[in-house]
Amino acid sequence: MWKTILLSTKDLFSAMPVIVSVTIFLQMVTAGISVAMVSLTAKLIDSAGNISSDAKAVFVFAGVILCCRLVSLFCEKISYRINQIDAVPKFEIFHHRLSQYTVSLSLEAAEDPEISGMFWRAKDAVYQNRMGEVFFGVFGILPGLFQLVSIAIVLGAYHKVLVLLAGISVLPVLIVQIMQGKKGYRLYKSQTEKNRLCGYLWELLTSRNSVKEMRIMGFSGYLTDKYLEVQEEVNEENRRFAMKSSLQGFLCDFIKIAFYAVSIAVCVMLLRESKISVGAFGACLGAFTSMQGVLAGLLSGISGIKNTCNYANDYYDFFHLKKADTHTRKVNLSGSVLSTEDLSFRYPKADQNAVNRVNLAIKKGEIIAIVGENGSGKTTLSKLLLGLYTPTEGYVRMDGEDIQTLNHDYYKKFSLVAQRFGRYSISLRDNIAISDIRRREDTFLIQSAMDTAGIKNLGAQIGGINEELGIEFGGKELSGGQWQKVALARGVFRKGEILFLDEPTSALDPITEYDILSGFVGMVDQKTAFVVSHRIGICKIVDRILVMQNGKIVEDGTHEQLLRRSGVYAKMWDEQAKWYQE
Amino acid sequence: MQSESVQAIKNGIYSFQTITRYVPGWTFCYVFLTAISALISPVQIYVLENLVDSVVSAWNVQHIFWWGTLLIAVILLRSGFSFVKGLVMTMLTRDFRRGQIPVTLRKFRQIEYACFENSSKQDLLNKISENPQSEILSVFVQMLSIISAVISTAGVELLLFRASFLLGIVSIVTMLPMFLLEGKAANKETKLRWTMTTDIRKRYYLQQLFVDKDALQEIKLFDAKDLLIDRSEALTKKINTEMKDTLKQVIRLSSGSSMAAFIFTGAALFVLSFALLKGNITFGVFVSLVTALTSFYGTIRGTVGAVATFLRLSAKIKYYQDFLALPERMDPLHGDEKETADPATIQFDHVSFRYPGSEKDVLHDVSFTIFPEQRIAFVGQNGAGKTTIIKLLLGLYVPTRGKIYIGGMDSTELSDEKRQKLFSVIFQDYQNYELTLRENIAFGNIEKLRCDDALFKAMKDAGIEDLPTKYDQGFDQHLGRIFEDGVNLSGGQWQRAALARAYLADASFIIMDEPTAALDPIAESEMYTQFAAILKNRGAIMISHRLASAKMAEKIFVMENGRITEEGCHDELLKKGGAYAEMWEKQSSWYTERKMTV
Repeated sequence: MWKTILLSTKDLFSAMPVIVSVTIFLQMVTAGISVAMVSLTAKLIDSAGNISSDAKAVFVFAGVILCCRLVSLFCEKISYRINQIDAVPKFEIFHHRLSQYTVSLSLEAAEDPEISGMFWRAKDAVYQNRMGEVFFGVFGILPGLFQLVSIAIVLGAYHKVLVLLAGISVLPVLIVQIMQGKKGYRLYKSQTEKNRLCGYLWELLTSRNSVKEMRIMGFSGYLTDKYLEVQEEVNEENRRFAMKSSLQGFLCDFIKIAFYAVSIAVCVMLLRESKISVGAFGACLGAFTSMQGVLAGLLSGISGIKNTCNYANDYYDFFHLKKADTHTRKVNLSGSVLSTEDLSFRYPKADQNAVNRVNLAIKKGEIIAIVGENGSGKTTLSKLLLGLYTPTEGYVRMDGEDIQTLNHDYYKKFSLVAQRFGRYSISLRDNIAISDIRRREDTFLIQSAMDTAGIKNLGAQIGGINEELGIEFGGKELSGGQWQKVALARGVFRKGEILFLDEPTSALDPITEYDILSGFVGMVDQKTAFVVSHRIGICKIVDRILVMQNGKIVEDGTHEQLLRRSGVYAKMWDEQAKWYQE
Repeated sequence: MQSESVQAIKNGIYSFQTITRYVPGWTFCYVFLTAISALISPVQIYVLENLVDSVVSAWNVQHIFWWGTLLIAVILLRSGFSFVKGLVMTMLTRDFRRGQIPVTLRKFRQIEYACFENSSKQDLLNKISENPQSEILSVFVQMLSIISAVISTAGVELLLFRASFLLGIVSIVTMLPMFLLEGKAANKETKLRWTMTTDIRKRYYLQQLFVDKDALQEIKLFDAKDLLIDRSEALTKKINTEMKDTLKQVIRLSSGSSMAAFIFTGAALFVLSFALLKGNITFGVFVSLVTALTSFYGTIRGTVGAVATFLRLSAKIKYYQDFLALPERMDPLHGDEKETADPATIQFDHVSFRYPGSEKDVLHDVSFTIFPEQRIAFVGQNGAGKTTIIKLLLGLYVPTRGKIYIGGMDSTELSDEKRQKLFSVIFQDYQNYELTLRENIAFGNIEKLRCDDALFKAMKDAGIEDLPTKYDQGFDQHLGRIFEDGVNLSGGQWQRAALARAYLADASFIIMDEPTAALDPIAESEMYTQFAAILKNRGAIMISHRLASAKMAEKIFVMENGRITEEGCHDELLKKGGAYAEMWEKQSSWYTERKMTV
């Protein structure tokens, strides 16, 4: 908790020193005024009791009260302005840092459901401004204390017992607050999975692709029931918690009021013994309620801090994850040899290696096909070579350097057409230029990448390359084949020396596929290229074929060599080719 | 402004009616409690006045005791009412949700499919948040809190007028500008939030890409994070600037109203002091009203705030009403369906189709017949209209011109159950359900959810019978990322799960849109080999770019630009030397020549 407070304080002070100082100052002023108001109101009523003898005093106090109110009104407006207008952009730093950090996480971490859960909680903490709450919670104690002490002095002047009564009456509030805070956070955390499921089911029930299947296969009833059931479970948990909390709140209120009754009795006694004036009687009761209010506010503020810290912690905890891109070593790479040494990789929570002791050396300019059965490790191997995954064992080396120790520039050597490429709801231009954003204004190059990918006219069809894609925000929706070609153009647009194509033509018709694959060698030019494909025909035009099975490379050679070997490759070739031979 | 207020009131009434329809009992309780508890504030002032007077004027112990007890009772009552009100609201919310969410979901099931592919309707669907009922509830609550504030203000006004006529007049005169100014401010803020929703959603979209693993690999490798971060920060800047401009105006307006409130407080203090000096009011009245000034001022501001929130939320009700007004698909009458002799003959009769809102036909005058148990392939270039034919056949869309007959019956008259018995489908963009393995398969035929044998058989046909044995949880293993113990499947495995789903349904036809795109050569070949056995006495309609699958078909339809240009079996079409022959030539060249010339 202390660490979170420290971190939040540091972050807020460095992000917005002036705002923070002014806000604290304003809080102090407001606290001072509210104390003055209590005592002034007391004085006003007191003097009103003797209005016949000293009418002037009444009007003076009334005037002073109005002045105080004006000042506090002014403070209120300034605070509002600062919080709603000036502070808002400064809080962006938290978003910014979160995004930057998330991108630097290793890909295997981002694929882990637990970590994506953490990300959403961290994001939530930012959206709910939990760091700000922690900070202002802590610094709100100061003016609160000041207010409390001053009111206690005012009240104590009437009788010391009243201070004690007010103090005891709000203790239950503190206890209940602490208990509820803890339980509430535990509930929130325990419901993360259920809430995620609810959100997901709702999405299935309401979004296009799943609606289509649901209607035809007729399982919407099942999903609806499931959604209602999980939602009901969550709602009931929340409802029970809310009802319990409000019952506890009511009991606290009851105790507070009981003590108030006692304080009235005490005041009546004091009045009877002529220890206080008639005017002071009313003022005294007012001070008593103020003290109760201020103390309860202060206590719940303090106990709330712990609770808020839990949420703010979700944000700071996220930054403890192991980062991938911590290395900054800069080496001038020629990219002449890409090699692996006993390279193994195991997905988190998996019980066997997805890539198993792979040793490879790829020369510059080689065109390589990686083939193998589903799940044999082709895509995983590609992601390791690209440096996107961190090897569990062994190394990937470029020019003999361990790539895990190199900085980002390593990525500049590569371009990629991913099997599961992104379909971004941004403009067509950005969908392509995202692979090399420094050249996003180069319309000519974008167009030529589109020509290569077989979507020469796509720009014209949708009304210009600056048109937004994706139906999500009312953009143009593309077909599966068109999206794949956009991804292809994206890969071509980037000037990497080593090109990875993972199933680049799986959604394309035979003619387009033919044009693209036969243009492939020309397209890659002098580059090194890897192509992962189930269309095994392409192996004929590559320099070298790697055949994978259970994470291992079991065959390695040219089309002719491997056919002669009559091994795994030959079998795959025959299986596919037989359908095309008359 | 005028019409907006009218609209807002209408929306308020709508929400009230909706809630009453579902939970009349709780609604009555809540309204009753709200009205009663609204009277507590004026009563409390009145009791305090009498208590003070009985203390000051005559030392009547009995009076002091009774008024004191009454005061405590009133305060207790206030807290008790708010407690009970809270409980009633909780129950009301629960029961309302229970009644209303199923209605929303039913609507989602009934909306015409075209709405999901139309971008403006899609935007509306996106805006229907996960709990549209919470907006209806909030509007209801705000409306009641306005009513409660009005009652309570009226009570206090009564006391003010009783104390001094002048004071009453002053309070009303200052209240008017407060309402006007705050109302204007609220309206400005509502409009702002309205225009900002899309930007906020866009920003959210950009930010979530960082945990979208498909996007993340590209973002990392391409070092594209700056593009997305800049874009999202530019949106933030835009949002903040708009907010800033509006909020500045809002602050100015609400400052005006605060000034009005301030003037009222000042006037009240002086008027009351004068009245006391002149002996027009008792000391009790003075004390009770001076102490009540702050809370009275709070009540008015609360009312104004409630009005603002009400205006803002009630606009959202509009979305919900628009949503409920979306066109529903035709719901053919169940039961009295004509039984046809040959239920599974499909006939397209001069069908043309254009997507709603589009100006171009995607299908032109398409006619063909498919007989039961026939194996059919549709081939053609991307965008030739193959998938559209499937969508029409499945009833997702209705032809613009022409008719589709199934078993001699107009397909629009086909009930859902009937259609489900006729067709099962694996779409090109099939869904991966991040639920259990069991559910993923059983969605093909939910009646078989608990039939492990049937599930196993379908998975065997699809070549993933090993999956349940791989996990401790067997069929009940969670897949995907929603559950923390979920495992991810490879692309090929997901595709086979989708296949198994299609196999599980005992439909007359299996429709497959690119079923083998993610399968490796051996799996693909095995699938083709086993196809006849798997299909048994079912028909198949397949769209594929892998022409090997067309070769096995009894009949191939070649599509070009929305027309069927060739039809026949593989051999016939090859002989014909047309578009199909060219495609075949190109694709098979990868496998026939010894070395390709590039």
